[in-house]
Amino acid sequence: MSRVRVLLAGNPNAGKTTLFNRLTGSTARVGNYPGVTVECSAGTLRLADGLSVELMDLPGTYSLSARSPEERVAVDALFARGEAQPAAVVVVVDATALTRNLYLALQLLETGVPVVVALNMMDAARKTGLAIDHEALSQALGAQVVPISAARGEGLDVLRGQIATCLGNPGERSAPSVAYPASVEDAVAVVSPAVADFQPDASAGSRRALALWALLSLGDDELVGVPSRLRDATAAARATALERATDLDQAIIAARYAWLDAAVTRSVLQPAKNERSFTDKVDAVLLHRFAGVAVFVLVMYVVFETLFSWSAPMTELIEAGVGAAQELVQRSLPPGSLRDLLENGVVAGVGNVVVFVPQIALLFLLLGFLEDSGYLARVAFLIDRVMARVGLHGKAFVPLLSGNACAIPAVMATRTIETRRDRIATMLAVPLMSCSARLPVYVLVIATVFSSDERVLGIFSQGALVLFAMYAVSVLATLSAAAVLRRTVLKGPRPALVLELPPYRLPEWRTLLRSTWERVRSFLVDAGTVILALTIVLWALLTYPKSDEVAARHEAERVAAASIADTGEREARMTAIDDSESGEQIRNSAAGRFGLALEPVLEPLGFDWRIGVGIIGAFAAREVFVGTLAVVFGIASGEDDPVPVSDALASATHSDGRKLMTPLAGLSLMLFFVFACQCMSTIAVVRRESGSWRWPVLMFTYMTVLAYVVSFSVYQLGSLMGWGLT
Amino acid sequence: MTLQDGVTWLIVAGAVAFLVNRMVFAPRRKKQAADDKPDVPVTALVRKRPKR
Repeated sequence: MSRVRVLLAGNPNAGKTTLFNRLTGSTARVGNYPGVTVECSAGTLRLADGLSVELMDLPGTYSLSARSPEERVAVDALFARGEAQPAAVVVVVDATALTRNLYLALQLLETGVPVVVALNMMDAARKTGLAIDHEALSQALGAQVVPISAARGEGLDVLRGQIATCLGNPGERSAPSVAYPASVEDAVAVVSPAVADFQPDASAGSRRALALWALLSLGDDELVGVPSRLRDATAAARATALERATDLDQAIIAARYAWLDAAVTRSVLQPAKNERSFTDKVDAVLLHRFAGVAVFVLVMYVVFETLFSWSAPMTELIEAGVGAAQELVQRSLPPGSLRDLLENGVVAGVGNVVVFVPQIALLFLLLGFLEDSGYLARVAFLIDRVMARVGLHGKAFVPLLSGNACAIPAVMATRTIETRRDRIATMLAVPLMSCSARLPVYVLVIATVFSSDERVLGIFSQGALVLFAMYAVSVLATLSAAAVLRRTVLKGPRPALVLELPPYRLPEWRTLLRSTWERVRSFLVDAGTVILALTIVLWALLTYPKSDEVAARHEAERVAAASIADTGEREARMTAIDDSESGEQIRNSAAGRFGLALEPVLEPLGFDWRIGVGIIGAFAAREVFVGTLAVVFGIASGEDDPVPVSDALASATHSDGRKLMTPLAGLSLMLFFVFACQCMSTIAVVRRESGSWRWPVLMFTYMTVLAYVVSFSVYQLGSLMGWGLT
Repeated sequence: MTLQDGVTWLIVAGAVAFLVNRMVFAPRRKKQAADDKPDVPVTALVRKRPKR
């Protein structure tokens, strides 16, 4: 039997998650909804009389218009049918912004659903001198209003009691009597029959609420599953209103706010003092067009410095753990295919995912801190001008920033952007930002062909300049791609950035750590399983089919080498034979043959079949490139120490004796990695977030074509001009 | 074929099956579930009249 469900709704930043965690303790879990992937947390709420109910924390929304994914999830849960139907809704209201927060509560009350209003942040309200008569407000709304402070844990027992009382009195409530103008009432009369036909047993109140919802939500929406009759009736009502020069949206919203203003005026005993608050003083600096940008650059530097330096010890620890696990496999199993698979496929595959966890956890923790403190809202405001030029939404800034660490959390971070068009444009451009997985490739190529000792202008090292150039190119590429996408396949108006600048608050650590853990867990489960399976398949492609002739020839060489008297010389010979055999076997493998077949296509970029095999491996995950090259060049265990691979790369030649890795070929290779979409997890996460294969396919195609064209142009032009050929 | 080879191929086949299921069948099942239940359940917006 299913449990009674109570929903927790409210505006963003109203303290909803804090209240949720206070009420449910440590029982929170995360559930994904099909189609729309904005997360909802659910937990157990124990009430005073021993009754326990399921409490579901909805994404923060300002209204039920169902235009953004958060609103769609909220609407979905609020009006679910059958067992999922909520028994009551707790609306969390920020007492310091009463009228705006009560708008959602009013919309909910109009539907007749039982509502309890949690008047949150009463401590902050008291500090400003604001005094609210919650009983008067309760009378006006026709629902219980409980003053609380979720952060301090005040009033929670009373709230639990009121929820229990509300659950004890089921049935439809009478909706607040908002006086809508005649034009709205006429429109409701047109739309209501479409609702009635659809659900004949609906109450009059519900039909009215649905008609109002349809008038505000349908039209320029992205909703599916809406009956065409309801759409037609809504369009007809809108058309009639337009003929009378009436804007229905404005009329409905204005009537609701007029009702709310009156109710709030009756309930506020003493208004807040109009003093220049701490937030205003800080904003004078942080929103300043010069000082604000300077502080922002400093904050970002600290974030990246922290991300790289703090995650390094954890990353090293995990790498050591992976190495130890590989050694354990080596010790536990005799040489053979299973040992090879477990060592280089399973353990290395899991390690490849787990190695990212410290960075992902830190990134979410730091961004969560900045977001909860109220700073990120200011950054979005500051950066909106630059974003506007390329057609991106101001909120796209955070995902683009996250893309420097890893595209996966960056794609997930696009959930905060309201419109699907902006979300998809950001999602498709974000993988061009140079993620940390590209770094080993840049470092390898730079170590191979660019000198770190040589100085440019006597100050900058050549290697550091090349590395900086790669990052600069990636930022330019990202912004250009977004600009092109927004002017072609994702053409459409750029919505103005309407952003609430919340007061600065000290984030609650428990909430931050909990949300970070949920995201890390979700990453480990989702991406980890896919990457593991892909690595196993990639290992098989690089291992099979095996040539018996190659194995027999090398075995004979080993027998001959066993007779070498000098131990050191013998071991060196054995290692050389092992390297040679793995090199030949990989050439014979499915992936190796594919690399050889691909060589004519890659040659114009300055690559040979061995780089081709590395690139194929890197399409699963970029960081596989260095390891794959190590195997391809017949060098064992090259992943942890790129120097031997760079030595091999530096001395490698084409079949005609030309040097393989010239500075020009190195530049071409790095640029290929800047542009190419070589990360299965990113493709999988874009598929999940966009809800369709269409977008990841477009992303993969445009990035791969771009990578090829850029590398081709650079290599061919450089060759023509005679640049960097030696 | 040795026992190691047999187990190896089983694991590889399992990985392929997992990926096929994940990329082909799971989205179809999800789509079916989503079709059964509209993204925004407008029908559900209408609450049943309470029994007297």
